[in-house]
Amino acid sequence: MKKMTGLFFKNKWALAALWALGVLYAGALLADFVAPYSFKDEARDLSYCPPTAIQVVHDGKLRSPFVYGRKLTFNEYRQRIYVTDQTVLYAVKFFTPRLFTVEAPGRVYLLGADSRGRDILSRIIYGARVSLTIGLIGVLISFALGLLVGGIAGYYGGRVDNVLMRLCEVLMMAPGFYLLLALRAAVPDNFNSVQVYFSIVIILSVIGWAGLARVVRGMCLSLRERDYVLAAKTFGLSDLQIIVRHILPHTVSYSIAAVMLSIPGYILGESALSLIGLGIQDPYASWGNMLSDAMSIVRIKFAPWILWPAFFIFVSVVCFNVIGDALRDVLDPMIKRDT
Amino acid sequence: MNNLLEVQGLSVSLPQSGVAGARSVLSNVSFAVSRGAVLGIVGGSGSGKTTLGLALLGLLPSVMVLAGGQVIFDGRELTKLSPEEWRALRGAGISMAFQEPMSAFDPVMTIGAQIQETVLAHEKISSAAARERALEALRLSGLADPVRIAAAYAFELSGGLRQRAMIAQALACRPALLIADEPTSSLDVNTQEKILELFQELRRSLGLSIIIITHDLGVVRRTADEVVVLCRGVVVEQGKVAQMMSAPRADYTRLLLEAEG
Repeated sequence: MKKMTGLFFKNKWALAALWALGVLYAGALLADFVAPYSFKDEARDLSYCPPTAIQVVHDGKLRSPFVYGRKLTFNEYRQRIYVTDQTVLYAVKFFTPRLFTVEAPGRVYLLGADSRGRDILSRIIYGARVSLTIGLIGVLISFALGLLVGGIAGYYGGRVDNVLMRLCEVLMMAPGFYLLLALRAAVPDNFNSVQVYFSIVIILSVIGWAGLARVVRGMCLSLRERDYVLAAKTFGLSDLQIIVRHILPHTVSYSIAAVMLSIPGYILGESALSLIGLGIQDPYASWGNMLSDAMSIVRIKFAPWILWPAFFIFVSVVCFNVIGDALRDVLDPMIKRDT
Repeated sequence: MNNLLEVQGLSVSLPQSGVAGARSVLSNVSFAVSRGAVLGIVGGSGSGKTTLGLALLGLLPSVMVLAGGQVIFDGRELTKLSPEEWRALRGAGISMAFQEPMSAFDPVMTIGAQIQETVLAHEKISSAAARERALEALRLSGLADPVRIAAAYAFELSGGLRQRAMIAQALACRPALLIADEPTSSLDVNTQEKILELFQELRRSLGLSIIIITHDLGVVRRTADEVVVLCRGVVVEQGKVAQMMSAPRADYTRLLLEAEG
C-alpha cells in the first residue's frame, strides 16, 4: 500500500491535478471568505462589465492597491462600452470580512461581470459548491448501488444475475442525455434549489450505476470461486456478509479508478442540465447555469469572459481524469512499470 | 450407542455430465462418528472425499445434487434443513478446516478480524467480546502469541501458524464436529506432527469429534480410531484403523498401504 501511494505521488501530472482540485475545493468550502462578493450581489448598471485589474501605480507613483472607476458609454449600435475613468480611484479593502473587496460604490471584477453585474469570479467560487460536490455525492450513491447489484448478480449467478443484468442493460441502452431529460421532467418543477440539487444528484446516479455493476458482476463471478469464500460459507456467514466483506473489497482496485473516472460525467451532466435551464436555477450559481448566459454568439463576442465557467469545468474534468488514470496505473498489477 | 453423526446411504451425483447422463460422485456411503472420536476418510484424488466433507455441510458445488441418503447430526436430519438453519449450523455445529489455509483466509483481512466475524455471525455479543473469543480460540489452537497472530494477515504467517489459525477459526464457535480436509498436506513433516498432536489435544480437552480427510494413511494411523476408505465414490473398506493396517480387506487399501511403504 505504501509502495502504491509512493508510485502515485511520483506521477507529476497526478500530483498537479490533485493540487488543482485541492485549490478548487478549498475555494468552494471557503467561498464566503474567498469570493469578493456574494453570488447574488447585483449591480445592474455594470452589466457585462469587462475584467478589471487591481492597480498599484497611479500617475507614476506607487500606492496601496486600488481599481479605477468606469464610465458607461454606448457605441453606434447602442452596445455598452465601458471606459476606464482614471480620475476615480477605489481602494481595495482586505478582510472585510471577505478576503478582499473594493470600497463602495466601486466594484472589482477580476473575471468580469455577467448580465446583472454580478462578479463572475464570485459566482464561479460559489458555483463550485454545486458543480464539484454533485460528482462526489452522485458517485457515492451510484458506487454503492453498482457494487451491491453487481456483487449480488455475480455471487448468486443464474436467474438473479440474468434479471439484474438485463435491468442494467435497459438503463445503459437508453441514450444517457435523453434519459436524463426524461427523469428530470418527472421531477416536480416547484422544487426549491436544495431539492433540485438532490434530484439532480439522484437522477445522475440512477443513470450511472449500471456500468459499474456490470464490471463488478464480472469480477464477482470469478471471486466467488475463491477458497476463502467457501471457507466463509463453512463458518456460517450469510451471503450478504460474504459479498460485502469478502468479495467486494477485492474489486476495490478497479472500482476506485472507475469512480474517479466517472466523476467528470456527473460534473458534465449537471452542467448540461443547468445549461439548458433544467438544473440549478438563478440566482443560485452553478458552472452550468452560468454558461447558459453564453448560449448566444453575440454575447460571447462582446463579453467573452462569460465563458470562464467553461474553463473551470474543463480543468476539473481533466484533473479527475488524470487522477483516475494515475490510480488505475498504480492499482493495476498487470501494467508493466518501468522503475 | 451415542453417535454424534450418522451418515446413511449418502449418494451424490452429477446430473448433467455430457452424453453419459447422470454420473455418480458418491454412492451409498454410510458411516458414523461417535462423540470425541476421530474418523479418517482416506482416498486418492477424485475419490469423492472432499465432496463428502462439503455434503456434510450442505455446500455441494452447484453442479452436484444430493441423490439420496440421510445425514443425522446430534439427532437432527440435516438434508431437510432450511438455508437459514444450515447457516446457523455451519461453524457452530459442524466446522471445516481447509487444506490450504493460505487461500482459505481472505488476504485483505487480518486473521483476528475474520475469526471475530465468524463469532459474530453466530452469537449476539459485542465486538469486543467477540475479539476476546477470537484470541481465546487462537490460544486454544496452541498459538503462544494470539495478539500478534490476530493482527497479522495470512500471508505474513508460516504454514504451521496459518494452519493453527485456520483451526482456531473453525473452533471459535465451539462446534461439536470438525471436518479437517487434508489438514497437513501442505506442511512439512515436523509441522505435520505438531498439528496432529493438536488434534489429539483438542479431542481430549474439548471432547471434539474430528473427521480427517486425507490421502495419507500415516496421518490416519497416528490420529484416527476408525477409517473409511473411499475409491471412486464407493466405500471399499471401513472399520478400526489397527485392523485395516494389519489386515486390509480391500485391494485398494492394500495398494495404498504398499504405496506408503
